[in-house]
Amino acid sequence: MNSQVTNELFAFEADHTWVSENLEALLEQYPDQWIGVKSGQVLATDPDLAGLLSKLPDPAHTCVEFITREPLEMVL
Amino acid sequence: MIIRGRFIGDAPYFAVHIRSVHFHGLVWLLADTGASRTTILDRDVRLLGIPAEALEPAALPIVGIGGSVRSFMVRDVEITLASNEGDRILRQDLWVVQHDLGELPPEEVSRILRLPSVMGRDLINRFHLTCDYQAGMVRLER
Repeated sequence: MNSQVTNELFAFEADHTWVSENLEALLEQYPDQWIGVKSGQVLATDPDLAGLLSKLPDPAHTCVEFITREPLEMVL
Repeated sequence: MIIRGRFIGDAPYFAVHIRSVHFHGLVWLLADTGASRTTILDRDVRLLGIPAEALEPAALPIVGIGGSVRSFMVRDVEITLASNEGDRILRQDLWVVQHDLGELPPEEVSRILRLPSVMGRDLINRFHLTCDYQAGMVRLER
């Protein structure tokens, strides 16, 4: 039986999978916006991260993604 | 014991739960064998709501590529990963890096906020890391 934390992690991963699988539709609806997703539903959107966080009841346990077509090359 | 990660784009990530006395929440960490320390970056600082009182100035300088940053430590953080045998819980200090965003144009701020937090060698090297993009496999084993 999974712990509560494991279940939270699996749900968090599932929401990111949902975003990946629905990315084209999200790009049409929310271009260049931050979105918060939980249980496969978009809870809130905002072009500014601080604005999004103010709309989310529990940002620390929510899948948050920036929806954009702009590629980001990273060298960390 | 196997902890499964996933590729987001072409980069290997692990979802973790982080808990300290000051905050807790869920974070994606980019598995980064080039980073010596597991480090929380700007976006996740905001998402986790890490308060200023949790941050100690880092004792050692952080050197990276690009940008002006302030570096801190959070002591004694509990990091939980989901494995095939249940929760795998680690305790260690975490590093926190915050870019100086005040003088930057909004589009540059947005790019910096897209940067992921990283899982460094301090955590990775406790396990065997498999990262095989062609096979779609990323995992930590012990």
